[in-house]
Order: sequence, then C-alpha cells, then structure tokens
Amino acid sequence: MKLKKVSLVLLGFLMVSSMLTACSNNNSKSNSIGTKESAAPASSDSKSNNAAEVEYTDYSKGFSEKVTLELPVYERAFEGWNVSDNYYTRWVQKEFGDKYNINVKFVPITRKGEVTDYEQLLASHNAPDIIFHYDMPQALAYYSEDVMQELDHNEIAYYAPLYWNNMQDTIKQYGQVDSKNTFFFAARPAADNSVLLIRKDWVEKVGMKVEDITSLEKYNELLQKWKDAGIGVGAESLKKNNYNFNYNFRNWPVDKEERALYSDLGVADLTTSATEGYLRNLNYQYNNGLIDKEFYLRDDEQKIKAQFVAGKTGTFSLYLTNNTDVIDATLQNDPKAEFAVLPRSAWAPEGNKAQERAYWPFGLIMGINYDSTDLERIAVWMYLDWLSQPENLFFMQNGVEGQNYTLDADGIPAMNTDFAGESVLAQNNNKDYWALVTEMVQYDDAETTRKAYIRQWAPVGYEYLAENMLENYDKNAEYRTPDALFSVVLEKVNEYKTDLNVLFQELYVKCALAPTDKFDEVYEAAKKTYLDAGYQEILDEKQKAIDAGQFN
Amino acid sequence: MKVESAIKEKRPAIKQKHSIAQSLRQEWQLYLILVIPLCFVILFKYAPLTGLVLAFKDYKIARGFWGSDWVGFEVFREILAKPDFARAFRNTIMLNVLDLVFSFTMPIILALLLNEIKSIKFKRVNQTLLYLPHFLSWVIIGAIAYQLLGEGSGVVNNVFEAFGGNRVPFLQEDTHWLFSYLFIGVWHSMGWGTILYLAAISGINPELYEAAVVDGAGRLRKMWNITIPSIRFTIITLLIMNLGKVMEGSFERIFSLQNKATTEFTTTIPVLVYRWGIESGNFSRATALGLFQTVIGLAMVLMADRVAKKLGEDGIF
Repeated sequence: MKLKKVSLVLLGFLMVSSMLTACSNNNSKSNSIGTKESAAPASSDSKSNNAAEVEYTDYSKGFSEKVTLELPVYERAFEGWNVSDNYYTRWVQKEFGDKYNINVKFVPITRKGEVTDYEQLLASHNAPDIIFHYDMPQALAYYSEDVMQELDHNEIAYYAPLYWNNMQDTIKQYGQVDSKNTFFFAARPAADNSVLLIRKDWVEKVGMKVEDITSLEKYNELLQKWKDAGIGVGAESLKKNNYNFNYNFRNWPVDKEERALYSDLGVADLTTSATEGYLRNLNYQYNNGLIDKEFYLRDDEQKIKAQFVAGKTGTFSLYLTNNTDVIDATLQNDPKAEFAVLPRSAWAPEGNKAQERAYWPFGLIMGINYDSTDLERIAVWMYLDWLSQPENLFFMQNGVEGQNYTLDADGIPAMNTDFAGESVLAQNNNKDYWALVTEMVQYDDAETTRKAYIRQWAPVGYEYLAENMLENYDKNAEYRTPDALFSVVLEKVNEYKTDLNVLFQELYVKCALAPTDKFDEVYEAAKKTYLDAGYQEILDEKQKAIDAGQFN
Repeated sequence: MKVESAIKEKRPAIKQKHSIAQSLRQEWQLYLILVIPLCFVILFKYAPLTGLVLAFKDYKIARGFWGSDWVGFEVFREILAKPDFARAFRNTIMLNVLDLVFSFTMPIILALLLNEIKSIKFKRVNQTLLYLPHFLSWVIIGAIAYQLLGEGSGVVNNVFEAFGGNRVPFLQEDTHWLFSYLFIGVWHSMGWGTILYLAAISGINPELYEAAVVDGAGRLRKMWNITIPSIRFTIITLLIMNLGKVMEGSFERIFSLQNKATTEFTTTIPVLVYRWGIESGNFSRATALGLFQTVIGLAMVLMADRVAKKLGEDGIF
C-alpha cells in the first residue's frame, strides 16, 4: 500500500515534469516557427519560389528590423585574447553591423573541440548561422544530421556579388551533396605555412648538414648521432584528428581508387602497407631511443613545444607565423640555438617520393544553420561580401596602419610585432576572422604575394625560414595530392569514426612500443581488431561509392 | 537491537488528528518553504528524466526531441553489439569493486585511527591535511600525478634513479596504472570519507568505553567491540549507497589519469557515454548507455538494501 502511494507520487512528479518539458519544447518550437513566419513575409513580398523569376528585396540600405547575425570564430586560447569582444569585433559591428542594422555576434568555437561544440550548440538551438569545418567528411557529417539549409545560388549572387564572383566556380563544383546546393567555401590560394623546424646547431654539432638530410635513412642516422652524443632526440607526438602521417610511405604514382578507398583525414588507414611502413620505422625509432620516449603523452602543441624549447627534442612541427614565440623561448634557454627548415624528403625512405596531402582547392567549408531565418541567411551573404571587399579584408588581416604595420615600397605591410595597443591582432594575424572568405593573404601578382607571405610568416631575422619553406613547397608540388571527395554521405564513417579514432591511437601506440621482434605479431593483431571494429564496414561502403563513381 | 525495539514499543502511537487540508491551513508557511526545494527537485532532477526517451529514438538534431523516430530497443541492441561495450562493462565493474574494497574501507580505518588521537590540535591538523585532496579537481590531480609519477621525468622516478633504482612505469604500464589509479583514488577520497564516520563515532556514549576500560578492554578491543558496532548503521548505509555507483565511476578520474599506452582498463561506461554523446554527438546511444548504467545501479541498491534487511539491519528505504 505504502509502495503504491510512493509510486503514485513519483508518477505524478514525472507527469508534471514531462508536461513542463513538453510545454517548454513546444514554446521554443513555436517561437522559432514564429520567427520564421515573421521573417518570411519580409522576403516573400518580392521573392517568388520560381528561380527563373526570382526577385530579391534590396537590403543595401539595411534591414528595417534588427537582425542578429551569429558568426562562428575559432577559440584557440591565445593568451589575453577575447575572441568575441575585441577591437576587430567592435570594428565589424561599427562598419558593417550598424550600417545594415545587424547585430553581429561572434560565437567562440573551441578549435580543439569544434565538433563537440557544434553538436551541443546545434542541439540546444544556439549554433551560429554558419556551420563550418575544414574537412569534408565532418562537413558531410553535419549535413547528414539535417542541420544545413539548401542554398539558392542566385540569392548568394544577389546579396554577395563580389564573394560569389570570387567563389562561384568552387561552390558550383564542390558545393552539392545529394544533388542539393549545400556548401559554400572560403578561397584557398596555393600556399602552406606548415614547416618542420630543426635545430641546425645540433645537426652541425654531430658533423652533418641540414641539406644532407634528404631521406628517412639519413634522418634516422642523424637521430642516432644525437643520441650517441647525448644531445637530444627527435620530436614525436600522439596522432589524433588528422591522419596524414603515412604519405611518405605510399606508392607513387597515386592509384585514384586506392586513394579514395584508404586516404581519409578523419579515419586512419591502419591496415595499409604505407601505415605498416610508417609504424615499422616508428617502432625502430622508439626501440632505439631516437625519439621522445613518452610521445604518447604529448597530445597538444604546447606539450610538444615545451620539449623543443627545453632542448629535449631537436625538431618541431608548426605553422610558421611572424609572431611565433617558439624561437625566442628556445633562445632564452639556449642562446646559441640555430634553426633551419628540414626538407620534406627527410621523412621519406630512400626510393620513395616525399608525398604530401594537398589541401582541397577551398578553405573553410560552410553551410547555413537550419535554424537561421531568411534574413539571417541574407545577412551572412552580406557579411561575406563586405568582408571580401579588399579594403575590409586588408584591415582585418593587418590592422591599423602606423600601429600594427607600416607599408613598404611594394605596398606590403611590414608588421610591427611589438605593438601591443588596443588594435593588436590575434596571434595568428586575425586569421580566424578573415578565414570565412580566404585561407591566405593574396595580392595582385605572385611576386608581391610571395613577399607578403615571407613578411607574414617569418619572425624578424628568420626570413630564410619562410623562404626555405616556400622553396620546399614549390619543389614538392608534384607530389602533393588531395584526398578524394565523395559526393554522398558515408554513413559508416560517421558511425564508426570516433570509436575508430580512439582504437587507432591505442593500436598504433601498441605497435610503436612493441619489442622489435614482436612487431609483426602485434601489427597483425591490431589490423584484425581494427577491421572488426568497423573499419571493414567503412571500406565496404566506400568501395560501393567508388564503384558507383560517386567521388572525384 | 533489543534496546531499539524496546524504545519502539514504548513510543506512544500518534494518531492522525488533522487532515492534510487542516495542516496546510495551519502550517502553510512551512509548506511554502518546502515548495522551493520541491520545485528544484522537479525541475532539475525529474524534468531531465524525460530526456530518457532519446534512448528509444533515432535522435536527429534537426527533427528535435519529439520529432525524431521511435526505434524501440534498437539503440540498446546496437550498444550491446559494440566491442567496446563488453570491455567498458568489465572495466567499470572491476574498477568500482576494487574501489569499494580500498576506497570504501580506508575511511573507516582512518576514522578509527583519528578517533584514537588524544591531542585535539594534532587531530585537527591531520584531519585538515587529509580533507585537502578532496578539494582538488581531477584535472589538477592528473597533472600532478604525471609530474610525480611519470616514467620519463617524474620526481619519484628521478629519486629512485638517483638512489640507483630502476624507473617504474607507474602510469605507463597497464598493471602499474591500475594500482596507481586505486592508490590515487584512496588518497583523494579517504580524508573526506571519514567525516560521516567521525560524526557517528562522536555520538557513541562515552560510558560504554568507560565500562569497557573497567572490564580491562584495550584500545583494539574497544574499537572492535564498541566503536565498529556503533557505527555499523552508517557503514551499511554508505555501503548500500556506494553499491548503487558500481556501474558509474568517475569520468574525470579516468580521463585525467589515462594515456594511450595504458588503455586496458580505461574504457569504462562513463568514458563511452562521453565519447558517444559529447564527442560524436550520438545522443541516443549515450542516453541508452546512461540509462542502462542507472538501471543496474538502482537494482544494486535495492538488492543490497534487501540483503541488509535480511541480515537484520535497517537498510535505507
């Protein structure tokens, strides 16, 4: 009897709470519908559904009612930098927002946990109007969640003529999924500032020259000499998120179908011979004490950098920028430290080509949030167009003349890296704000662009690093190829990706740490585990898409 | 037990004189105050339970909570087929049972020892030092653990090496990791866990100890025959409550202490809930796993309560 009463009370609570939740859900839903309905007439007055006869309302003088535009911006935890409220966000509000009656909000998206952030924001209906990611598999994963609107290219062309002019070819070629216009992109000029630094003084101390390290065998020889001389070891870190580690071990020329099947930035191809080659070398380096013994603990850039700065490791991979602190910090610990760029071939075994993953011909891949109203979507196009204007883009990239930079004879800004005033740029030169329209700074001619890259990427006195980096980049162009792009959603990739990522880390570390004579046994067991855990299903699904020609 | 039943017998039966309406009228202020915590519990403890429906749906963000399709027990079937699930199930139970053995018993022993300290000042200083770890977050503890116990540059290993010993992979080999995990857990929780026992001990009638001394009992005899039986109810209540957590475990603790070289014991149910729910956005799967975990936990509590009652104890319901 007593139990019955207690059950009744509990049931009552549950019912009341269900009603409360249901009501609140209904409210939020009806609010959002309400917003949409109120937004629709504003455009439906003049916009018909027939694309051929479409007329769009002119908002060049601003919206009649305040529109809130929420833009995503990467939060990279730069010290002292508030990504959503700083000189440049206020400048955008003043120059763009106030002019068009738009309240511009910048929504921080943690760079290291962006998918998690987006999933939570989308589920709670708080995601920004643009959903972005750098990699197509994840962009497709968002699409498969039905959280992106279908786009009207004419609408983009109308509200963002300059942006559309710059990007229309890319958008038309790569922006469709399941025959629906879904993605729009930022431009990506062909350049890259990722570089592998090496301690030149260490190399010379053991009687070698940086330019002699032209193969993996030579690199391992160098590491052995460092170890014997008690100088230090090569850097190594935990692989995660981006699995592009085995390019140097791949066959050349590339077999397109094989690449489509196995090469995937988001899911590591543990079972291929290229990965086997990579892991065998890693196992060799580990067992011979040539690399950081605790590499599996170095799971973020700060930890890897700390080892380099402290003089424990002699190599460091980074995106070079003129305000990087790694050189100064290392010099503080060792004033005699010298730095050089390690050639890309240093990690390729003799006889192999120093292959690399090429970026796709676009930067950020973007879609419009399913929750955004028509006016908010239009505000996005207007913002992209405004940001594409050369003077606005230049300001966002360089800051205030006389403070952040001075213009030289070539019209290239010479950055004042010591400037710390109100208009100081973010550590990566505000990249996360202007990356919505382009991935790289670009000038009218190639030579000026190159000079600008060197200014932007090289710390003062270290211009040769940027020059060598660009030389290597050009030299290696032939061996740089992009991953295949599938035009269908790969469901199995979405289903197994996270679990396989965790499993891959576990298995590859096991292979690396195995005693040399046990490597084959451990690797074979790892392959089986990996295939059984879902990788085989991914391969089957990809093969089906490849056979149907649904990739390029 | 005889004394307790005697007390119960002597207690006069209080008749229900007032109806609920009368009570409400007369003591409405008290009921009004009660509304606040009641609302809190309904809003933050019961209302979120409605989210459990996600476990039976193919949840799509765009379709929302109620618009997503019902799939019955499909999500549960999916989870059970996952190779990670069996491993997580095994690890969760193993780590929690081991925790129950070590982290549950240590506070009792510690409380008994603290109770024997005569100097109040010394006792308080010790208590404070023992409570401190409880206030440190697991992220901090994880970082400290690697600084101290790391194989490559941990302080403890540096000391070992300086004295001619070998470096020990406290956190970088599976078995060592397991012991370190348990040890750090005990260190973190034992001080705080003594509070309830010390409170229970302070309620013991001193005359019992005096009588025992007269009978020639030593310290151990007093502990065994007076202190432990007197705090038995507290021990059993806490044991039942801890049994309810045998399928839970601290996500933060695992997450802060794990590394990729020692993964044998680090896949647990809370870790899977985080991975599936937060990292990959599969909210249905994470909810189903959470529900599974909770149902087992509830069953354990009810079972333990029943066993306790059968053994003549009070239980918690």
